Amino acid sequence: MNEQTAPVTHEGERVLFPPLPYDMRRRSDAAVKDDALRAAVEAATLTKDTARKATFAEAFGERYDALRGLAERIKQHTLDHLDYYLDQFIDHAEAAGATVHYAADAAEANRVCLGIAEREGVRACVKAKSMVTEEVRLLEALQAAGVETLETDLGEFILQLDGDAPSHIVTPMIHKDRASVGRAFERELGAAYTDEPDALTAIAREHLRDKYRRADMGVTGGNFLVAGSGSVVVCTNEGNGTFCASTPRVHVAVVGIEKLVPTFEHAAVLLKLLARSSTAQPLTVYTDILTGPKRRDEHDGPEQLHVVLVDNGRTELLADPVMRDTLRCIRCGACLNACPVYRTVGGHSYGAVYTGPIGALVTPMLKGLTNYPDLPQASSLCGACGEACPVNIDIPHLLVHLRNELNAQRVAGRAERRAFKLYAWVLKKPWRYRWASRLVRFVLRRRADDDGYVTRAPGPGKGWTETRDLPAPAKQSFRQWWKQNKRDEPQRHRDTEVN
Amino acid sequence: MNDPPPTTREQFTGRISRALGKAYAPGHVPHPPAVDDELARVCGDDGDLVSRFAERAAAVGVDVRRCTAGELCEALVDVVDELGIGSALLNTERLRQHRVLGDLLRGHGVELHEWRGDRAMAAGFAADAGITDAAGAIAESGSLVLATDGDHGRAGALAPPVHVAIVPASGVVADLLDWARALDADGGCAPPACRQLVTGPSKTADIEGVLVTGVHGPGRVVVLLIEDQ
Ligand code: SF4
Repeated sequence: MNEQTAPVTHEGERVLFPPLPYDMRRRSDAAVKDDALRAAVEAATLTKDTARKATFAEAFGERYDALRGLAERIKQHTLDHLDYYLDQFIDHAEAAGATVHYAADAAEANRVCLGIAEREGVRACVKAKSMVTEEVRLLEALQAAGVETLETDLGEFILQLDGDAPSHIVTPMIHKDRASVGRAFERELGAAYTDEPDALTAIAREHLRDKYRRADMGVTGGNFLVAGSGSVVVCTNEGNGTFCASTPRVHVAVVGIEKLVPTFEHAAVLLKLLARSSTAQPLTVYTDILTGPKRRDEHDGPEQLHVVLVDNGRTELLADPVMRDTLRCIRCGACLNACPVYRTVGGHSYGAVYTGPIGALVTPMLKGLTNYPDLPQASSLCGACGEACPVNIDIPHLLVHLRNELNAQRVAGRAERRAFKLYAWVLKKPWRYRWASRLVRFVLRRRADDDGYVTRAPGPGKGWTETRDLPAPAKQSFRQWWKQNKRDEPQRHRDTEVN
Repeated sequence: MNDPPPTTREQFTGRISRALGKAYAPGHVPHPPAVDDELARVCGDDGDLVSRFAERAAAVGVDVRRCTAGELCEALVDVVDELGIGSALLNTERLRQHRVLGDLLRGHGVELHEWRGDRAMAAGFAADAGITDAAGAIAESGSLVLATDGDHGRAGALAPPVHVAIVPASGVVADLLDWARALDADGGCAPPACRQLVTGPSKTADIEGVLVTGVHGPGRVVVLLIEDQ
């Protein structure tokens, strides 16, 4: 078994926890040049994005936008009264026999889980996929304490085995191909090499069934916490979450506080959106509603249920009048699949657990804007993410907000600041603008090739033309053209479309 | 190394209250948003719910077979023969026919695993099939509704490679909303430790997006839908 639990890049940098401040450029440049990676990620995300749209059109038709509005209001209402609903949840969960723990930060979340493991004499642990446990690095903490811990989601299992890191919040090994899985199974499990997905899955199944039986502790996340009943809702397609919550004696559910909903009715609305947004399914295959540990008269199930409520920066987000909207996120991954930047640079370029457009918002908020100054820029602001989001998070708007914050904190480089100063000075007087644009036109037209394209722009334009050509400006500016033409035959241009 | 004292409930919720600009958590809050059926309902409760469930369940990969209560034994034997089931975990205590089904399977040479006491999971791992009764079903998504109690374990629907669920037509509801509202209305009663919605066989598409069934849970889910019960 691979003891290494913190995957690193070729440069020896931790994939999800790089040195800070993080420079996105290095990895995204390399990713863009990796044609196989780009093709794989692009194909997978495009398929998902198309399927998502089709399934919503079929199930909700024209009502879809209004439904997103309802989902937004449900999550926002719960967040606005989070203290109230949290109290309700805790009371009900305890009444059902669960033990509730409170983790102010990542370190405390890990301390709580290690404490449970120690008290219960846990030696082997199985773990379902969960973003919050990755955020607090629970796997590393458990392994360091000598608790043999295994990821059970097939993708995460493969990544753990191969010393690789997840790159998508729903389909973690989207960046990996079948041959690398075959090699990892051959090397780490002693299996005969195959690259057939069916056969590979069967190997993993056999290996993991034994682990489920032997584990004393199962760790899962939670997709929702239902305040009205004290239930944890866990969604998986493979059934590994159900195993982790059923076979071991102790079940620990580690859940962020933003997962609360008032009632099952509200959970139902979000469930309707979650699986359709993620994988175009009406529901995930296994939707488990867990309320307390197994009852005295039951024959299987965990004897203990621990719910670890995690804050880890969420209250700060809650107090932020703009960025708090990100707490509505139900981690469906639709914004990643819709994002042209994610498709091109892949998940590891984001240098953090949360990737894609939502990651570009959440990572700087949780880990410091100055530590991740590139992420809010990693968007073309095309708006696809916002349109894909089932809880109506206006991601582009929030990205712009973070860019403004960055500028306000003067994180932007000195050259950039000087350029903007010059730009402002030019714009202040019409004559300055006229002369400046004449100068730019003159320079660029002289550099243009025979086809009318500039392949190497001077000065600050250099970076832009490194990856594409710039069409040379027209001979005349629009203002000059207007001066000459507006009096001549105005009729002629009436039907011409102006672009 | 000394760990700081654990965060208490009061400290934890207190921080949230302060983040929301309050001194402490309020005793009551405005009503949460009403869930409008016009927006959120996918499946109306008029028309032939049973057919709709059968259709949606088939769409998510469930093998649905419709029968009457009188034909149940025959249908079950068909499944056993077809899938070559040599041993099973029988978890159908809610059904009137429970005793009959047990005798039938044993008579047909199927070994029935004892699943009570602490043997439940071991039985699940050993059996070729788990035969369980479902508490109900949801037409919208083609989901089975399962719930645990003294007579209904978790192992049967999870650990064997085949899950055969017996679903009475009277248990089918139209939409996920109907199921959820029934749970909310149940408020006063003690809920079961585990409720499950099972929507198709265990699935993964982690390896290059290729769909594979039976990764951890059953790769095959058969529903025997009893139309007159
Ligand atoms: S931000 Fe919206 S689209 Fe993106 S993962 Fe969260 S809920 Fe899904």
